[in-house]
Amino acid sequence: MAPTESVAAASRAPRAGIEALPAAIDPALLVRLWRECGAADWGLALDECQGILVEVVAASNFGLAAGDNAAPRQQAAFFDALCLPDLVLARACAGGHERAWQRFVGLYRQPLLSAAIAIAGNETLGRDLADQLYAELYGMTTRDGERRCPLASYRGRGSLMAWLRTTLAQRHVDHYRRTRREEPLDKSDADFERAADPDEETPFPALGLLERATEQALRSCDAEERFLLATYFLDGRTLFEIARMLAVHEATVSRRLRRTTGGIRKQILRNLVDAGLSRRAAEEALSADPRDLDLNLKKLLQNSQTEAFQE
Amino acid sequence: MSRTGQRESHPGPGFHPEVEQLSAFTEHALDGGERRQVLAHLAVCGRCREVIALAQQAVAADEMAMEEVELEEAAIPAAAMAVALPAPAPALPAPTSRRPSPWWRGWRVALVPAAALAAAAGFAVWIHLAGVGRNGEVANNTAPALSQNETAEKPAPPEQAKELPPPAPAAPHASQKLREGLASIGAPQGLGGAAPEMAPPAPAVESLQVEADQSTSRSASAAESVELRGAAGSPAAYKAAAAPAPDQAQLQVEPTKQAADRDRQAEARKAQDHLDQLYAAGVTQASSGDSAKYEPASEANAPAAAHSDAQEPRDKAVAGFGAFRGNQAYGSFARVAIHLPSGLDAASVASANHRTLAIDSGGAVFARDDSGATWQRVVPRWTGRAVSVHSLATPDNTAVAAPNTSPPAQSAEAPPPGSPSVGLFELVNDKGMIWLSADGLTWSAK
Repeated sequence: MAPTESVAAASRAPRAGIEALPAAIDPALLVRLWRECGAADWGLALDECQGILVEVVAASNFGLAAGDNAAPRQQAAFFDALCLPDLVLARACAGGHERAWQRFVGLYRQPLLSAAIAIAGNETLGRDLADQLYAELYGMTTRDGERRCPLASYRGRGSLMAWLRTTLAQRHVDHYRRTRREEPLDKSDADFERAADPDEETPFPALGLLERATEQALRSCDAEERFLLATYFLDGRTLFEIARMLAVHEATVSRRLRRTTGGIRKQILRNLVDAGLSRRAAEEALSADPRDLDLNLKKLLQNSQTEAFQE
Repeated sequence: MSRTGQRESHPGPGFHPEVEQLSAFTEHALDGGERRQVLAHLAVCGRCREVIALAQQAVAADEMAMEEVELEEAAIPAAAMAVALPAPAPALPAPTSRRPSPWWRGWRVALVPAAALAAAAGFAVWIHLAGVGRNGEVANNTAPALSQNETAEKPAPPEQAKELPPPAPAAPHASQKLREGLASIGAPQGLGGAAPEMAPPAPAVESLQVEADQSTSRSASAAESVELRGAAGSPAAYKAAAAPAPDQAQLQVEPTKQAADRDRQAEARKAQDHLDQLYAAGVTQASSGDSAKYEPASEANAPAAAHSDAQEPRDKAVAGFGAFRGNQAYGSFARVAIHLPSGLDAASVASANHRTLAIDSGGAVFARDDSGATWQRVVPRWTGRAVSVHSLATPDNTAVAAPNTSPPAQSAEAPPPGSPSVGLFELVNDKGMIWLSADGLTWSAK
């Protein structure tokens, strides 16, 4: 079907369907979106595009509360906030559209391979990772007799390339963690377990107070401070990497880190004083050797409960 | 948020942000609330932090690869690309994204130092031209005063005429310059005994003429503190002052300036007489042994000795006058090369009324006109050797009188000026007798 014919046919045909759907999209907006997303270039008809968009809207109701009716302006704002060309392409691929797959391969084959190699740090592993994801995207895996494509979960927030990179990274991390669990514990882990043995007695009674004060101080940190502490001290990321994650300057990260550690130290001192120590005794307790503390900062930072997600 | 599909990697129940949320976080596309939720999860979830870090690593690798591609495209010349790429149609131009730059674009870096060099060269040329113009002005002021008198009365010999610079216009308003020079140095102090050591920054000719006036008034009374200053006291300045000024000489032929030139020539003639008197006074003082005031410099250390031998005697005379410098011993007075017929050096020279008398070291007296190249021996009326000759001429009949000048000390003992019966020259022989002459040729005892 030629694009002009499809547009003319689709501009008439979908009206009955749109009126029947609960999340109705403005017809003029639909035609505009269909043209702007370039779906006609690779053979996606207007009704097919409409079906994809209706599916997206049914899951989110234009970003509004359930049951609210979106005005055409709100609908346009909702779609303008999405990466619509990527969304339509991904959904068309998930639906098995052949020309959509051709376009997807032409657009993302090489970038996906490059990203996989960069993530795996090895070309062989990178190719394996990319091929595995390709197979998964193509719907080779089935669940309950149904062909499943991860592209169907893409809803147009952020670019499709970023989504693919994140998916690759997720697969790689999962693979690494799965295979690492099969390896024997090395010496450092054994030492760590031994050091974390709770049966050992603390040499000084003030250290118990210090442990509790530290736990309380770390729990009082907000999400970004805990993220900074975990990323910098536990993961060993550089300031540059953290700055890229947070879209800030390295100096900002450094300043926040310094402020966070200073605040934690003050909070620990306050907790110690509140626990009954004098100011001088609290200072002396803070100067204790950290190796004498029965503290697992990794557990302290990562076992904290958050309201959003739970590991 | 959803339960992740990686149950095999997380045995326990775990909820992670969806891949889309994490990817939106890496692209900073989340709104504030959702971003805080994801950040709070990342603070406690090492797996998701690792996913984010790896995704960022892939982004950085992509950016680096793109930068490398751009650099390679920029580095490969368009022509090389056209050769390397198989062109289906050779007639068509090779598809290049970058236009070939003009050849001079490669020299863009060198433009700044080249411009600076050109500016420096231009500045140097300007300074040179300014110096040449100043020196030409000095020569313009001095050369006519020395040359036009002689060229007007007697033609110079051919060999001397070749060496002479072309006649330049006369000194512009010498009397006015004299007044200005007197005003600039302070006439009462300059004519008094205590002359300042350092000359004021006045033009060379002006100070020369002004000080020539002063020294003329003092020369008859042994001229205690005559200061003759050349052009900043430097030999190079003397050379420049005596150098010909062809451009100015060409201006002389302009008919509109002929009348002014005649006036200037008359003034210059008077100035020449004045200079001759001053010159004679300097030689007399030098020969009388008053080395504390005028110390004749030797050929070796005098600034004028640096002159080349090809320079004219007239130039040397100017240089000698210019070399006068008060009580300072350095090169105070250059010996003037006067070639007397006897072959001896001139021991005393006096000049007045366009006539110059010279006594050689043997005591013989010679006379010549101003422009005359040959000396005429004076028949002695006295017995013994002539020792010194002085000019009794006053500024009234020799040079332009300087205003506000005190009467010279010699006027008290000299005869009244302007009386031809008394004479213009006074000669002393080795027996102390004084002889007077009006024309330098016929003498009568005083």
